[in-house]
Amino acid sequence: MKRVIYIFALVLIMVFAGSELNAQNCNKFHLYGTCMQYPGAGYKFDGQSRSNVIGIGDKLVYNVIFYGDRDYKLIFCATDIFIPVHYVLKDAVTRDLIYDSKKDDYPETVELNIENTRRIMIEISVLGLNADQELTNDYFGCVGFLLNYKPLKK
Amino acid sequence: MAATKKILGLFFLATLLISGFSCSNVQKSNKSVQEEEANDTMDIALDYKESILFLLPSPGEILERLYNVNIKYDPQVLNVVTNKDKYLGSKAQSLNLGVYITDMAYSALFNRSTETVNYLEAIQSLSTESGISSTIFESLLSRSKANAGKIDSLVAISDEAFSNMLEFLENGGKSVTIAQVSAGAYVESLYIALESVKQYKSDDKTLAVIAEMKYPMDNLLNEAKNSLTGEENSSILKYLDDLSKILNDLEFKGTETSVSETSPGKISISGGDKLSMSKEEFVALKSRVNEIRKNIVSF
Repeated sequence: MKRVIYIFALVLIMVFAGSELNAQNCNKFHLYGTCMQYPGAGYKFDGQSRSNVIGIGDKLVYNVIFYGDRDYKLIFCATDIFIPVHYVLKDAVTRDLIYDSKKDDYPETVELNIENTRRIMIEISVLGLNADQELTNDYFGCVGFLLNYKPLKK
Repeated sequence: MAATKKILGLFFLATLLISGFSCSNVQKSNKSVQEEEANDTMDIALDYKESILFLLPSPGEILERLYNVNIKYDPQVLNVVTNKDKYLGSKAQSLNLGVYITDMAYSALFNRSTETVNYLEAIQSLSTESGISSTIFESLLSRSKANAGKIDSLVAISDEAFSNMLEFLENGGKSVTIAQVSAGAYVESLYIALESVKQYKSDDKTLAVIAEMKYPMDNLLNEAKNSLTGEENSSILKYLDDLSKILNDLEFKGTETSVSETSPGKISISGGDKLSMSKEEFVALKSRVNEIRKNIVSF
């Protein structure tokens, strides 16, 4: 009897510990996923890079500071079954469209050349075009973007 | 034996139920606590569930802008590490955690290895008091000791300390602590920046860097308004609101924003606002920041 209770307690601990691990499994996804590409010489990592949990039908909106006199390279990535990532960049104040990745068939990267410091909204959703729709509708995955910058060449 | 079978049956049923709930809820609940439903984006398709996150550059990234306009290292402007044990209560501890993170980033930028390690140790100690696991700083501490004298490594370690802490707090749903730490870090960055200007000169490049701190302030205030709803944090909101008002009154000069695609996937954004700061605005900002910073670091 004691043995059964012991096993019961052990499995409960494993289940809860497991859920805690699952809950954090998008941490630093942008550092380990396909986002982690060499951005090119002279680029530095920007701490505003982020990852988060996402599902089909979710839209994450990030309000990001882009400093002036810099070249930025943005790299987007998601869990395999959710690719491609659809991202839209808008001016955070006027909401004017800056770039919609749909126009170029959802490329993973985009480069921004910024003259004056500004806030830009990055809207991210995942499409999961290459996976079974039933599968993508039932699960959540990770999405991330890696932001790199270097001084603007004048 | 029959009783054991019953228990085993219940046990598997319970396990299945718990697993089921964990799997269906866990990913949704992991979404950052800073997220909020955006209700002002009329141009977005209605079938999307939308969340918004206001991001802030790390203190190191803000200070790097100052470093690039050649400010001088001045240890007198920093909050001494020995004060760390004097802060009582979670609000004072979290605010000063932010202050120390900025001071560590400042020390790292100027390649002050000993000071960087000392601040990192103070951060680790104060983090424990604020309910943040001290283990997230352990490898950074040994790396900072091993990389003494290497400015790039120290700066990277300082940025990593900030992002590790934010990540820990986000995962724990501690949005109030995030806002408190960010407010402390931001006020300290602004204080260091303003103290580096000994005499106002309209063409001083440091002033332009100080003025552009308006942008992270906009994001910080948005985040803080969502998180710091309790009466006990009203003073922090007042600090941020006062600074925001001064920064929002700065004169905007500039041209209309122009967006062009220079080649596929390469976007150039030219024009836009350029902020400038008069002597009166500089004096007003410096005076208010000094008052706020004094309130934060005193015990």
